[in-house]
Amino acid sequence: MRVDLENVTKRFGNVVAVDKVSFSVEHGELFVLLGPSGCGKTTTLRIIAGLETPDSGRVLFNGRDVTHIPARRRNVAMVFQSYAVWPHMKVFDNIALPLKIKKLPREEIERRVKFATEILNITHLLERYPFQLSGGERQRVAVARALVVEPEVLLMDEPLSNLDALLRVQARAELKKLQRDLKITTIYVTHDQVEAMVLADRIAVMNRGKIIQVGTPDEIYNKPASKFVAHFIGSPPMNFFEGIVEEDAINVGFAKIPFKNISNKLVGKRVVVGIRPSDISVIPIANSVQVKGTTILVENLGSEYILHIDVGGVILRAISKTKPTSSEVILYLDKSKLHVFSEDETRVDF
Amino acid sequence: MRKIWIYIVVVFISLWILVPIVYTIIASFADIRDYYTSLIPRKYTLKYYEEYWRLGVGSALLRSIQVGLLTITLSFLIGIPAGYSIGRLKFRGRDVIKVTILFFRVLPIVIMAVPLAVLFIKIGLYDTLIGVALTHTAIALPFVVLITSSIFISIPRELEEAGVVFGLSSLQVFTKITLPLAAPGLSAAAMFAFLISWNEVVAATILSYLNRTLPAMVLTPYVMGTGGELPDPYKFAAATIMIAPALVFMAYIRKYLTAMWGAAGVR
Amino acid sequence: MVLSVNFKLRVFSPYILILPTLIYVAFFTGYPIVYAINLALTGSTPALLQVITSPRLREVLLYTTMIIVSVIPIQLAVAIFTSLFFINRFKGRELVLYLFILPLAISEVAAALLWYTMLSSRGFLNKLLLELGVISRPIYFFGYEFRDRTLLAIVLTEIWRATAIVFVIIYAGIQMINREYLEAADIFGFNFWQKLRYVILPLLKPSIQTALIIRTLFAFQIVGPILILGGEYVRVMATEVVYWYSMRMNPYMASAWAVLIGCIVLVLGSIYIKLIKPVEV
Repeated sequence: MRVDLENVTKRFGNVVAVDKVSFSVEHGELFVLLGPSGCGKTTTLRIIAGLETPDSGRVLFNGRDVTHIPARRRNVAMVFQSYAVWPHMKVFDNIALPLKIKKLPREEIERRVKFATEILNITHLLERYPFQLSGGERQRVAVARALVVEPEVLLMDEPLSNLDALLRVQARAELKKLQRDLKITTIYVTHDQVEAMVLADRIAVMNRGKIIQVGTPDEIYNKPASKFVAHFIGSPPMNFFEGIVEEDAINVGFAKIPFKNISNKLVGKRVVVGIRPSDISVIPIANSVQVKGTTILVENLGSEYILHIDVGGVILRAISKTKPTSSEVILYLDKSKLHVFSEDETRVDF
Repeated sequence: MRKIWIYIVVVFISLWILVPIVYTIIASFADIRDYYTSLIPRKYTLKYYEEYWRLGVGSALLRSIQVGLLTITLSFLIGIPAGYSIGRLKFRGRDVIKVTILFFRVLPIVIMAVPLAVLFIKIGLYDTLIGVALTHTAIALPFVVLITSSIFISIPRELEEAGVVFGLSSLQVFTKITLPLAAPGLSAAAMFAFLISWNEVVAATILSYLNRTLPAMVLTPYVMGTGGELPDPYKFAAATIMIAPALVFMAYIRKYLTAMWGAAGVR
Repeated sequence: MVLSVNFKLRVFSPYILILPTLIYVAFFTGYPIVYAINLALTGSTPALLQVITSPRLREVLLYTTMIIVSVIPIQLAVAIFTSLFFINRFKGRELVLYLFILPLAISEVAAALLWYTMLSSRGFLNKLLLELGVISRPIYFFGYEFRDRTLLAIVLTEIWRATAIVFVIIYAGIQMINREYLEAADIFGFNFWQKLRYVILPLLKPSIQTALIIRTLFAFQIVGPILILGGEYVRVMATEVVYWYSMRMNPYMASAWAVLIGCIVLVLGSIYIKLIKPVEV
């Protein structure tokens, strides 16, 4: 099922929660809505589900306008953040009930429940009540319930955020595999950018009700369309420092970085240059800008170190496999991995 | 389309509730012969009220209010701890105790009233407001316990446990966390207790003689059998007087009702 | 030392909290109950026996049952549907809500008088229908020949007055239901009746249980509308108590009727508690 949103807008009182949002989700894609809390991603999901009606704009399923069709007549399934597993029914009934009211024959219901619970490894929990289950188990019940109705669109609202960290990583991988095997069009909401990068076929980054950028994880990571996206994606976050554009170079204070092909319109203007900590090395690399600095902090992650280096008044974070031996270091900034953002925070290509 | 149905229901409910009340109030001010002949009376008078007032209605009113407030206070003081205990704590015999408390509330108030009247006479509580309030508290207590217990059941334990984790004592958890969360439900329980007392007519009649509460004063002619029935105009006046403070009271707590339901319900 | 005191307190504290209520209620009702049972059973022909063998029993039981069986289910259904209705947002919602529960403040005596105004032969309904030309003679609701209609009047009065009690409890219960349980039902295609049956009613069980218990308890003790509207020819168990005590000055027969009421309500209460088991959320 293909899902299209055209200029969807939703207001709550004076607040514009969703502001002219448009995007398309291809059939079988795992599409992630990513952004900080309050950016409108959940509201957008609920509009797709039919739980909210937009003030303007359209929602299309395979080209058909479903904007004003109520939730129960859209063939979608949803996994809520709190799972919404009905507390007064056993697990089996929770999963089977949506099928029962569709009046499916008994054998079919049992077959589908068996299938879903086997994939999710919860067959041993069928006779239990939700209050007897752990959070992770309840989450699987919610997913199983969403799968048995064989929906055309699967919606997930931060389904992993209530799980503890270890479980989250495991569940993440299982979800990815599941979606790939079943090929259901899935729209997934999260504020966790690692989750988005791992799971998504494509990501839509949202902030304050607007879509900032839509792209594959690679595109979002390597070609962020704005400073916001660049900062939001990637851990540890991108380093930023200011500079002034000169002819064929940008003067950032502690260095003059040569740039070819910068538009003449920008000469004399302020810009922000960004580079990820993983693209700053303490070992010499080719095609790099060298700067000298003093180490002020070392964070030990076990597998690597995050160094906080003071370079001419600007603090840069860099990743190193080894601990620095002296406080004076030389950093090599990978020139091919520099990002430039103009004053209005959009990306500048060169 | 849906909006039309909603407004139809709204109109229906409004008429259903308001017509009996408004019409009776109008009737009480109407000249009775005019009332009998036309749907909306044209001639009005206060003379029935004057006559009725001379029969001693004002002080009965005041007594009813005092008894009601006493009842709330007493039933809360005694009943909330029990409601909390039943709703919150697991202990052996919880269901048994629940049924027991209810069992005690089973008798019609008339029969409860008679032995109590005899007792009150002996200890000097007969024909006093405290005596009636004590009796009303006994009536209201089981309901206060039941209602508050289901209120407390619905407050997630984790919120209280969070309080304990942050170092609050049991009493502090109760006063700073549980009570505020239960406040909307508790205000319903308070309303309930007051109204039980206000509406209560039988014990109030039997346990008093000169110091009658309002409903008792009104019902007496009916209880005493045929021939004592009020003439129509006094019926209307009596009803109006009895519901007037109730209307005032409801208007006064309306904003608290809105707070109680407005916050939770508008979603 | 401190530890053991705390431990003891924790173990006993539920009982300590309940104790004042138990003592108070036990005294105020235990003592009268004992005395009342005593009254009902004393004498060579105990009053209770007289009541059970009296010819009046059948008539009284019939009227009591008819009223209660009509009033309570209707009130429960109205309360549930009205609660669901009030979940909708619309202008003036709070005002209508307030109106709906207004009768909470109105006593059975006042309510009976209000409905007398509505239904008497020169009351609102008759005058309205006469003006509109729908009827040519008044419809009588009161009087011995119109006993059945009197029952209708009593049932109407009770529904008008007491549904709010049930509603308050049910409405509070409905708001406790997590919105997402209902949204999940929406997503999975439940229509209104399916949501009601599979999600709302089961989760409403604690409130329904409380409401039924409270309402039934009250219903057996109503005397106002019966006395005021029904006069002498509609009798329920509670009015028999009043009749025997205030009119006939016979505390023995009055107590006998009371004891009978007590047994019936006890049985019903236990049935409610056993049948409607709320599930821990």
